[in-house]
Amino acid sequence: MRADIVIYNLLKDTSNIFPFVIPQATAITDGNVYMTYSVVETDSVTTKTSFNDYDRTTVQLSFFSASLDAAMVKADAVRLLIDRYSAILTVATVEYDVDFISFVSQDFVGYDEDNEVYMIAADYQISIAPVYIFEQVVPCGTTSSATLGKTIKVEDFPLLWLQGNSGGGYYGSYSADTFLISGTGCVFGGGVNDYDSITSIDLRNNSLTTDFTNTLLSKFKNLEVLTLSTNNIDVLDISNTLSIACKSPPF
Amino acid sequence: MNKFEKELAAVIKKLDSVKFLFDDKDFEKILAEAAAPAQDAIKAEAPQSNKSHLMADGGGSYKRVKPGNLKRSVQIFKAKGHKNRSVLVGPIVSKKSKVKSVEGAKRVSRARRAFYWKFMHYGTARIPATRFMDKARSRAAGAVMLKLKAGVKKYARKEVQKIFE
Repeated sequence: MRADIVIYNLLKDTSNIFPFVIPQATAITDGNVYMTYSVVETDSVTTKTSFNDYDRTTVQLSFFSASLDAAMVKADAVRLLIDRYSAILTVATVEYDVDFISFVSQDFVGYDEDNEVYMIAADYQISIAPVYIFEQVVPCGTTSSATLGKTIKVEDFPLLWLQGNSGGGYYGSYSADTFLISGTGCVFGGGVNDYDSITSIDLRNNSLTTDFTNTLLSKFKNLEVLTLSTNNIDVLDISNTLSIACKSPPF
Repeated sequence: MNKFEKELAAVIKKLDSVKFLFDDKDFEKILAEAAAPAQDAIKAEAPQSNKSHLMADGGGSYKRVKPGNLKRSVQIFKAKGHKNRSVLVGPIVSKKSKVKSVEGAKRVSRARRAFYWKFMHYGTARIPATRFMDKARSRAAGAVMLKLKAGVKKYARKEVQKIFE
């Protein structure tokens, strides 16, 4: 997992941050704080109930400044920003499921006479779930993993139901708001990016009785066109689906 | 605390509870023998320059040192004035370092010193971090534990025999 990308993107807007070293062309004695980041080590996390669902990476952040106070203030500000951080971070269409960032230690390394700056080094541990591709086989119990060989609720994995089966959908195994994917193990049922990429859904003439609940539709944040004609649908809740346009009732 | 650190803490706790079985010198020997693999690992992981270089040496003076100075500065020692029986491994940093030699290990030399170890370990604005101490710790963990346990068995037997002489 690319913990370096996560750290860089979390800090790049508020910091002068570089990988490993600060380029020679950058003057660092102007009183501003300059930072570097480097990955120290990456360990897998295996527990009784999961097998390597997360990677735990130790990242060193270094703070350099001609002003010791500025370096310390910046180190505290960074800690405030990223310690206990947990979210899905999207960088260039790739999702990074950051489970947790935790502060480990901070050392005042000293005054570097060669470069005439004070230096502080801080270690952070970052747990990130692996990046999965839609319908890829994944360990069960991970984020958005759908179990094969067992009935799956449509509202839990609507994208899999619509676009799984290599784009053909799983209407064939559909029954009373559930569907079934044959096999064993689990597959990835889609992430935020996969859902965000959907702008229109055309389900006309499929004999569906699915409840299109708020849970189901609110996953598609960019959905603009939903065509449901010639089905037997009783429930259609678009209260939280802001971008949708209702064109031709009744269904 | 990782797995090794937990295991080490448990062994030290056990050792502490039976320290009356050892005299001070033997106790130090056990720790010194256990520290030897750690010293070797740090020396192996420590970076080395290609040519001799100047090292700041206090009071604005500089000392020219040969390549491998950091490796040579890694020694086994104990803190002066500390009553708890512990042994440390790492670079000697100053000619004023308050350290003493350890029974069973090579005599400490402050002439072999490298204050700049932390700049190599954590890196600087222009030099990438090596984290050589962390790598050495991972590398030596198993051997340190084995030596510690073997040392306890070796010296404890002698002491127990002495009781019944």
